[in-house]
Amino acid sequence: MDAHATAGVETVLNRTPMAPGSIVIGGHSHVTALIARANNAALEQVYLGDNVFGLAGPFPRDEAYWRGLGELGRGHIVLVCYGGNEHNAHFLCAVEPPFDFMMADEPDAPLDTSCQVLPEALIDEWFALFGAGLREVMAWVMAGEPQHVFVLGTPAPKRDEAHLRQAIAREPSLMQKAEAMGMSAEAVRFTPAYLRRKLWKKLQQAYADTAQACGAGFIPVPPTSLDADGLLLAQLQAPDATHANLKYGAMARAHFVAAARAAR
Amino acid sequence: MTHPYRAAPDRAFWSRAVARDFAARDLVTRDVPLLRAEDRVISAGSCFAANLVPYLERAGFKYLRTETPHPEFVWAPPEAMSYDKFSAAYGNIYTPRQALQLLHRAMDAFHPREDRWIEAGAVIDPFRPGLRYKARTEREFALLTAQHLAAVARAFREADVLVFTLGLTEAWASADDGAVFPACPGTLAGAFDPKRHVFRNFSAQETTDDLLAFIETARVLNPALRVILTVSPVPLVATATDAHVLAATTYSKSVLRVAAHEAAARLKNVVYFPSYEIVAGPQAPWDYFEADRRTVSKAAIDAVMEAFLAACETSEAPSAPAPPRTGLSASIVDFECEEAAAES
Repeated sequence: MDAHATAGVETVLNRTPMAPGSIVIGGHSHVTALIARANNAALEQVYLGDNVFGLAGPFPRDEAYWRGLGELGRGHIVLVCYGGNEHNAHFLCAVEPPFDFMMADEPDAPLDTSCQVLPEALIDEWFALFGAGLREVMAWVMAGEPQHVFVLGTPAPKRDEAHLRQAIAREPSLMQKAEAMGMSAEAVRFTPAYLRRKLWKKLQQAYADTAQACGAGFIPVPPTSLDADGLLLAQLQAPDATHANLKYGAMARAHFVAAARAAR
Repeated sequence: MTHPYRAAPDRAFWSRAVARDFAARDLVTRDVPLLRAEDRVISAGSCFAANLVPYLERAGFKYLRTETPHPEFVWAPPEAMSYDKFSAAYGNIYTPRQALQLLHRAMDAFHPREDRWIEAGAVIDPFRPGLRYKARTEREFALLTAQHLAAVARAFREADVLVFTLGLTEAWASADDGAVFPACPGTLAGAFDPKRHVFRNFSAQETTDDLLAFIETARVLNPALRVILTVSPVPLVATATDAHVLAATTYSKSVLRVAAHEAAARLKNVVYFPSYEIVAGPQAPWDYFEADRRTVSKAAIDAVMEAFLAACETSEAPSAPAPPRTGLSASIVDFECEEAAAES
């Protein structure tokens, strides 16, 4: 970690005293909904009330940010909002050939057997690859010696394809993927919502498993953020293709904080 | 005085064709190319059968695959045990009986009673016991197995040519219905039960009958299918007979060679390609086998494939040696065979 970032954290630590058992939230882009102001040129403590703090900092997150999160959380509870868009990056747009998979713990989940059906074990092993990045982050965070660390669930996929179609046109990385697959913004075909939900569930499980392996806990998203099919409620979606809004953030933060304090 | 040998070609004489001027490509005596440029080729058989695929593709032939890894999941570790090295994910097929059984299952004509083993949260396919990605539930197992068998049938229906390498005569079978397993239950997976699992060492007659039935069954799916038979030169890892493993190997390869000859003699559009002779014949260089005298060397595979491709219709030059790649030769033979599990 560079000296500038360290100095920044120390400055922040001195700004608002943190009572024992405080909670510090930090992470990748989905943390924006949780702490409202996540993007900042330097690391900066954000007070959210009720002894809950956030850590703003520059995107993309780097080692200095994660180490800063651990240092800010020394002796406190740290909530790590890691990743959460991997399923979107790879599967928001429909891939060829179409595929599906069964889930042992959801035997009644929708399944399209006209697709190439892949073993659930393969899907799990593929998503587990994303755990490597989380393990590295956890090591940096835990170096700050927080009292407890929890990895947070990330928002469920969005159902509304019209919304996605508008949003994807404004997101270069997703459009690049679509164009590489020969699809324009107007003609883009999305992976069916039920399958995106299944993939999201696998990502959540991969992070839960990684958290456990790192000695941390995992807190799933609030059930109240989901509709009857397990997708993100329409009123909780941010204007883009993948993120949730501040209303979700307030709901989810309360849920995560309560769960972390209860599990402590 | 004249006699039948007087007009025979040089290849008929050991002194002229083996003792000196031996050329592996001379073993192929037919005029019709083994493969035509536009042929869609599938292959099956023992470990050795997987070796030809990179050579064929490099020479520009279309190797037909009907069951492939999904391109979006290529980051995940590949399948084990050669399941991803053949036209469909059937893995190594050691005996003609196993090949016939596979087709019968793909055609919904045989349903083995011992068709799954459940252990440690996984449902294991006794006929593909080394699969890396095992089913988690019986429903998933049924779905994945049905999908696999449909891919097998499609491969046989859509191919122009099957290259089938005969590997073994020894097998373990179900005492219940005769279903043969690629590996002895209890080695890679499952549990060995002497009441349920019996050893079979197929006779020359049984092997020939199975091979003929296999080809005839394949032609129910695809009447125009041409077949190239080879015998793997790889000796047995172990024998379950009382014989010395070398004697058991000689028996096994002899029976397979006879069966291949019989099939080629009796059925139209079935030919034998002498990979066994090229690698294991007394003319073969010492380095065609590694020091263990079982592992076939890359030099040997190069020689086999050079002779094979020389007998094919191809616009490309006869094969230069294929680059080493993971899974080729030693790794296929030693680490990716169910057969090797017998030694563990």
